[in-house]
Amino acid sequence: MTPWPLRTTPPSLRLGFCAIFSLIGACSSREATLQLHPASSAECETPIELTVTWDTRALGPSDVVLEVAPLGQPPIPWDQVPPTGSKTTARGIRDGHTFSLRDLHGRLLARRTFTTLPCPRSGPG
Amino acid sequence: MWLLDRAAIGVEVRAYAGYWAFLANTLVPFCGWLILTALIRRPLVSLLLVSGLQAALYLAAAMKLKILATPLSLSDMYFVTAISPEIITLLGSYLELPGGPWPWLLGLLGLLLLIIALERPSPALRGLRRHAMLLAGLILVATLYLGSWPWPGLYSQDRLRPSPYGSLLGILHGGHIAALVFEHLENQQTTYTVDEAKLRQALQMAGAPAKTAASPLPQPDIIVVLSESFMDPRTMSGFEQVPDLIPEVRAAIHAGRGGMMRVPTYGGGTVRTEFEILTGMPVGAFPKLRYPYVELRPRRMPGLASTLASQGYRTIAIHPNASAFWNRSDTFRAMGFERFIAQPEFERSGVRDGLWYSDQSLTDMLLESLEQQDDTPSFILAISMETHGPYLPDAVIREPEARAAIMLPATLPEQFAATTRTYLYHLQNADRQFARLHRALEARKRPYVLLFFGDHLPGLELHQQITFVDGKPATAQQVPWVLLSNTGAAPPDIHLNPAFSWQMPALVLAQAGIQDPWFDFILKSSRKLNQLHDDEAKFVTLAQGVHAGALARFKDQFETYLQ
Repeated sequence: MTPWPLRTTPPSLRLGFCAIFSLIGACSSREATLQLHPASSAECETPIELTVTWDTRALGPSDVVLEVAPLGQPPIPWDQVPPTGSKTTARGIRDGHTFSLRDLHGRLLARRTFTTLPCPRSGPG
Repeated sequence: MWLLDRAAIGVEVRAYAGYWAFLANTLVPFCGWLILTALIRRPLVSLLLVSGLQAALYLAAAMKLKILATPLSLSDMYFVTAISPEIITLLGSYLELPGGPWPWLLGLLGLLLLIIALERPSPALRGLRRHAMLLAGLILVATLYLGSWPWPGLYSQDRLRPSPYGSLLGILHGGHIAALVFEHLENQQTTYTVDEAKLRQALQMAGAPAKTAASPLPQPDIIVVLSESFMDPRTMSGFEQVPDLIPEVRAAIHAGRGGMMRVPTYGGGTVRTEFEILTGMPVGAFPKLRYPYVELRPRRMPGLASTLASQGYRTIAIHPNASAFWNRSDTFRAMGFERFIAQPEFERSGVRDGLWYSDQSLTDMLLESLEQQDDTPSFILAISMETHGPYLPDAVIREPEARAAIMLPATLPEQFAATTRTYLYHLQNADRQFARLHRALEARKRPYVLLFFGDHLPGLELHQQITFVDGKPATAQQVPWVLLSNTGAAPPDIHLNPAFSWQMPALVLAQAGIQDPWFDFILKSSRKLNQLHDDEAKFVTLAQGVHAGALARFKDQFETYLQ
């Protein structure tokens, strides 16, 4: 049953809407994997070092570029790396640090952001 | 929408996604949808309008972060409330749309009208249902405005975990709309209270300020030129090797008539520096203050203009852009300027160089205003526009060959060459106009004091990619200032290291021989702060006392603490 606010909407507009949302849904790529270890930690334990692992073999044998961006800053190329592997950062990773994997043409393959959890507050006494 | 939110700060879509983030970023647009739908009875049109506005907000946030390296804040909503053709032209120019922003805006409007024509008013939205929607929407908006239940519980500090050093972390944890609501709720609770103990301590440390007194010398004309985005290119690595682009300002600095100063903004936000220069009050004294002219709206704002007006000066501000921009027209009136010459008066004879009126036209107007005076001394504030971004390489400029001749360091990334060259072309013009103004003031044979300074670094993407000679980031760089005079009086006996923009008006008045308790307090405090570099505790105490003094001055109570 059509929800009441859309009962008077012409079918052409409904179709347009569906097309937009379908396109957005179809844009994500699942062929490259990128993982952070740990992916998250307690806020008061940062900055930390973490290990980045990736696998883009499903896309072909080409090298890929690993980028890193502190929160709010443009990404900086970290290294050109083989399709699979891992690298460990220095002890400087904070909340919002984002790692991206791009092919050699600059196309974004995967992106992961390091997140934090709130630290327990110390009570009085 | 969450996808756009995350893209605006360049993080993964899943970062901090969850039911609370969804609710926190949907509730405000939902209020807008409720009200709009109740009013026009077209749910889909309302949804498109609200979503369109939300998407525009994320676009603006992404652009601001990219160009100015600062996140969107509630104060930026000023641009929505003060929307005008000039603001649309200025902000639209950053989008670099073919044909400018207007055809696109008209196209969007046409599309909206078409959709409105296609969707019939919903018959279900009549009577009680319609009124209930409107009432619910209005109640939610009213409680949000007042900062009352249910908003503070939803948008709490624990959920957003904002940082005291900026709103980016809050945006990361909760999304842009949640962070904006949190900022609004915090602002609702902000009051400015003078820390009397700190102020009295500072007065004791700095020494009693002088009482108000006119200059024993003939009153000089006082000219203050805020040169938009004026910086020293040689602070950027590699630029030491290319010909000097600001030789005139550099010569004055080398002659001991200026230096470099810290300003409270980077890449934009001129009004922050402008406020400090005109009032002597550090913006840091006002917690969470972003755009002083927009957020502080007192009937009277004491500063250089009011002090000089009380000494018999005629006071004029000149700015070749819309007078309402940044709420300048109201603020300048509150500051005591008797006349504000803005864009309409430049349309008569002004010349554009690039997107904006040239510095040459600004100097022409300034000199014309000086010529109109009788024996009354003048205080003239001139705020330039030519060097304002965006630095579009295809904008029509007056001397393309001069721009093409500008040499750049070989190490400069190629993708930044065109915009950098365009910026430097305008910077060079600003330096030349500084020299022209100085020569003209010397030739008038009247006493003068001239302060010329840059308000902040330009918003160049280049700055995110290159290094600076001192190894510090772009946001920590300083801008040049120069203080010239022919009064014969010795320059103020003070060597500011580092200098801050809020100290400049005190130097101007000291050079002019005019005494005022507030500005004398600033001068004496600055001198003392210079001596306290090795004593951090006392330095902090005095700095906090200056902030307390600024709040007292803002409330027009400063002199009550001198008794």
